[in-house]
Amino acid sequence: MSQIKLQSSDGREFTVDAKAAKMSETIKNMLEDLGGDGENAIPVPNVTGAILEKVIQYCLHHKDDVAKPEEDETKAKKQEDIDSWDADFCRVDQGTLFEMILAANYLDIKPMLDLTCKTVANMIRGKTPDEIRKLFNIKSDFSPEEEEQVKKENDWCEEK
Amino acid sequence: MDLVAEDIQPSVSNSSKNSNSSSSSSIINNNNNSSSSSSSSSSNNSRSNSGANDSDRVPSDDTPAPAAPAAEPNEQPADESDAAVMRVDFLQLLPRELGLLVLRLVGESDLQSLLHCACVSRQWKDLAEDNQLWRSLCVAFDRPLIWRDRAVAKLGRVEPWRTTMRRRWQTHQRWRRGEFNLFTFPVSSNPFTISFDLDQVISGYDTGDVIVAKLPRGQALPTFKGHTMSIRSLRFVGDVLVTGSEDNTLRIWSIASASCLHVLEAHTSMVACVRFGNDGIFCSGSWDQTVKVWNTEGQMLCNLNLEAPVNAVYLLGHSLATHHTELIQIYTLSSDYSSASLHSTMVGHLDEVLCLQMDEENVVSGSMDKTIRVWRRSDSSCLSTLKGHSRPISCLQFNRDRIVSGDWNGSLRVWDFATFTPLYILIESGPSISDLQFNDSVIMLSADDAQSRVCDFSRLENEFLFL
Repeated sequence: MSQIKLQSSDGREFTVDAKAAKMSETIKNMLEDLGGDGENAIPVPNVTGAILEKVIQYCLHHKDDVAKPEEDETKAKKQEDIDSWDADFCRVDQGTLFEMILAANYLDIKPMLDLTCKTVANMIRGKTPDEIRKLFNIKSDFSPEEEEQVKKENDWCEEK
Repeated sequence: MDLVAEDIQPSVSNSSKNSNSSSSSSIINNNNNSSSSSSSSSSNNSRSNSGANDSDRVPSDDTPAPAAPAAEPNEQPADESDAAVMRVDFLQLLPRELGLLVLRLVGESDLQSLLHCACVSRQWKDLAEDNQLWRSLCVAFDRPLIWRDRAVAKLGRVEPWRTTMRRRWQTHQRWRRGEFNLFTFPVSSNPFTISFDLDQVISGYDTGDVIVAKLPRGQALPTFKGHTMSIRSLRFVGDVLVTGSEDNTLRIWSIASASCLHVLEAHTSMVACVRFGNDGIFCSGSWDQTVKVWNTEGQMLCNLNLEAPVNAVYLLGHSLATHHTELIQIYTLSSDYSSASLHSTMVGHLDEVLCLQMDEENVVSGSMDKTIRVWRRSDSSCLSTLKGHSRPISCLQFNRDRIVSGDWNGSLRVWDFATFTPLYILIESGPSISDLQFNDSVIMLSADDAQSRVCDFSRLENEFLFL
């Protein structure tokens, strides 16, 4: 079975290379459980067609990646090293990125989950609290006194 | 979990403002029915996602199953939101463990940004102060974590990992800037060699005495007596202490019982250096021109004849580093340690080597020629020659961050291991430094003026001295 069919929550069907689809542990397990014949589409109830399309795009690009040995702590730390294809892949609006994270989590595609979460982390990095609020349109719910207190508790690694 | 009535409003249409409660429940609850409810939605419904963001905050302790992105069709009225400035409060809307993953990624590359996150809102603060998050950051920041658990247990208090991280960070900064407090403790005679861990400081004296001070309070065990001349080197692993002396012998001691278990008399001249490898195997280098490898039962496993007095040895697994006058030599020991073959030689020092250390990749050596050299093991090349000391280098230690070196003129210097450049001079000059050891918080020195010296980089006093 080299091709399988996936059906998104909004009823769209996708025919996908099986190896790519199996990057998702969730789909891999479903295939094993169903022992599918490739005829019936596998439902992916939590992912819309638009997002599933992104997921498939990711899996097709990465399906032949050599399985990395369990990344050790020091390597995982390097996050500027998102390659350019991945960076382009994540150049989407925040709503889409949010859904991509949820989809990667639901479908259990660890490298995609890491990539999308790193993308959010990179958006946050280097910003002040005000800039973060602006970035995500968040309103502070601290009272002025609380805000003062919180700032004081969290200023211990400002470069002085 | 704190639910706040007046909540964050992302940049979405007012229509969704009115439906706070319903949209909130949809985020949490509609995982299962989403496929049916969404079948009618168009492919771009993903972009209407922000419509879901105006909900009440998701209770933070509740870890919902992945919220269904397909829930948004219910939020269709939000689709007139400004798609050009789509804003999503990720931390509010993601399941807690994913929010924590994002914050861990932020914190691992930039701690300051993570602290900024705690100032954003109450919910962000709650996530950004998660104890397990800080634990994982502590693990990533500092490899050996055991110090923390033991130290906390010893002091009988529990502190949040965030506090631990804060202390580690500040200590790290003080290392970078060379800020330390110098403590000196008068002792009864001249300490020649020193070694410590979190449980004890062990000093060997020119009288042949060995003194063990238990941490954190520093109370001394009964003096270990037996050697008849100065201790030149000592190391311990667990309860087993090995000392080497000018009286040509090595002794193996049990620290807890303060008793001598074995006296090793195979060397015929001063024992200059003792170092442990793995599995309780240790080696000794002597002016009798040999290096010997031992187990803690006192059995000699291997004897290397080097045809020149040995000042320094280092054992790492089955690799043994030593020197033949000015040449660094790496030997490979057989699996049972019974034989050794010369693996490589590093050429460059102009005079006798006095001290050296090795890790998986590098050897660092100090010499009579007043320089420190950093070598690469894979091709035996000299990566750098560190100049600055005005007298022979008597002792050094390095890790991936720094090299600390001491010389006969009492000068104590710290070098950056990444760039091989001098960072600062901690002590300009003074009594000759015979030995040193550092951990992440302190450098301890032995010098021949009947003083023990501790350079403390942690901001904290006494009880936290070794954290």
